[in-house]
Amino acid sequence: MSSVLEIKNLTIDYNGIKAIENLNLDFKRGKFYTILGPNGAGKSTLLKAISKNIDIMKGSIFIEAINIKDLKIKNLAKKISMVPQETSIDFDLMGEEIVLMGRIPHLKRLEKEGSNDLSIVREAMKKTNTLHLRNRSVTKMSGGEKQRIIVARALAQEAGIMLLDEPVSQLDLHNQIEIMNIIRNLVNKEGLTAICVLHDINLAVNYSDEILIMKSGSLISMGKPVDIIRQDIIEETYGISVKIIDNPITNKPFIIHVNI
Amino acid sequence: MEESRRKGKKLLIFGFLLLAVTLSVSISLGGADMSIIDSLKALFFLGDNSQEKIIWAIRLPRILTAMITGGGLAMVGAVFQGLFRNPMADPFVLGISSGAALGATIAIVLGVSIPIIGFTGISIFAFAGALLTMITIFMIARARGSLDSTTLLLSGIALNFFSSSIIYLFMFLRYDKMKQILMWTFGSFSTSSWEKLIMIIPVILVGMIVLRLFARDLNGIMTGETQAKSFGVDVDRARIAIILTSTFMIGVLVATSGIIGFVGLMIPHLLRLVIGADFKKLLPLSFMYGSLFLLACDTLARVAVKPAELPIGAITALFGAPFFIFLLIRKKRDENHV
Repeated sequence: MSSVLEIKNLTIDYNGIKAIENLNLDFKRGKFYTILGPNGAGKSTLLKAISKNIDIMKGSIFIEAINIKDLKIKNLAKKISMVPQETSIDFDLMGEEIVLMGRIPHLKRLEKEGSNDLSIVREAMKKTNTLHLRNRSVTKMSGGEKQRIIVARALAQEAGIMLLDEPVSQLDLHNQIEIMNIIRNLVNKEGLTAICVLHDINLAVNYSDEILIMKSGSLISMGKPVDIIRQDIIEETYGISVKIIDNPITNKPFIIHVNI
Repeated sequence: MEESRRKGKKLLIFGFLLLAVTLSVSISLGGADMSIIDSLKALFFLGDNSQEKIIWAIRLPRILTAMITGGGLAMVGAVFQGLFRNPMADPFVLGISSGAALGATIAIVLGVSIPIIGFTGISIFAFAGALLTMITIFMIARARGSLDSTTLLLSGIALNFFSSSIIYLFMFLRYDKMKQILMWTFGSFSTSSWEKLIMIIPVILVGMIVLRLFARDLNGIMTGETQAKSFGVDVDRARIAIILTSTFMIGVLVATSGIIGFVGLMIPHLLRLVIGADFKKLLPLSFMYGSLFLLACDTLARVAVKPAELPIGAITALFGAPFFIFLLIRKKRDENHV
């Protein structure tokens, strides 16, 4: 299988502290990856590095064999889209206006959005169940609606890789599942590569093809959920006591925290 | 979106009509009253010779200066709100106008009068004062890690105090220049002339074009800088272009007519209520309605207590300050709801 994203010997210094140290990773096309790990593990820093929002100290990142160092912001946006944890907008931007921003990397400065762009936007809104929010101001949207609009915008970029930084941690259970289903569907049907930082281990197990566990800027373990979510790894990573049982419905590992 | 586009068109047509009416009224009012018909005749060289002189030498340059200043201030206000992601940002509130006035004051006191590439020493110093204030705001933002409303408003107050107190010190030390300096702190169009107009028109025109070129980038930045970058907006480049352009506009406007507050706060805000926040529509409409508003205010300043004149900055503040308080209450209420 071809790799879409390769990280080689990556080291990142963050205010004098090594946020990521000598990290090597290889992501394949059309898979759902989840990054787990305690706070300060370097998960968000890694996403920032891939999206060129932080300086790389050592090592390099390749997207489809191109070093991101050589990619302009606009060209990077054609290959990678991003969904943040939360978006706060104080202005009355309409749903469609926000999704349309996803077409910016494909447009010249003075070029007007054409019918092709509008139909891509429409399609993205259909897939995220946001068509009805077309003419609604973002200031009047709920957290879940807003996050689906942001996913639609990322989708309108037509980038092969989508980075998601704790995309559901501000949402209620219903909206969490809805967002996760949308992403999973995009991976299955459109060959999207999703790289998602999560905190909920059970959610990660249910949706991911592969899980990466990070701690203190290094990779602890990477592989299929069944192989990775083991009592020793989780206890070592998070410093808590857990029990792992077989989820009777999915037959995947299910984690229960035990307070002692 | 089609709906807001239609509303935008309606507002544009309505604005043109309103502007035509306000212009006709404004041009006929003044020291020597004439009928609207007579003044329009004089405007097109069809009337009385002395009336032509009044219209062309006195009223027209003043009216055009007020309009261009109002339009420019409203546009820059809209742009600042997007750039700082805050509906309460405005060159006056942020202390940038005061910074420009401080620059102008220093130029007056030092007697700098050497023009550089067509700009007077006062303009150059006003620009430098505005730019330094802008840089200070960004340094405060960097030190605090974010630019929330509180930081923005408090740093604006501090910078306003700082610049004003230096201006007052200069006034105290240089009685002979006091009147000239005072004019800058209250704002006035009474010294408008064709010579000054010829200086500000190209700056504002180029500024309008540059800002319009970055309308899409501004839309993106409004949703957050990291996000804007993730969908292809070169935020760093856009920010530098936008800051330099709008600071230069403010510098030139303040150098010609002094500090005129709140136009940039009120006009874009009211427009957003009707057409939404899209900068492509907001920028041209801000210019139009800013022009209209300041023309109306200046007409009031000219005729309310004839033969004396009211300071224009005081009139806009009379509308602006209550509006600002209204925004503050509304913003707080919204935050409590979330």
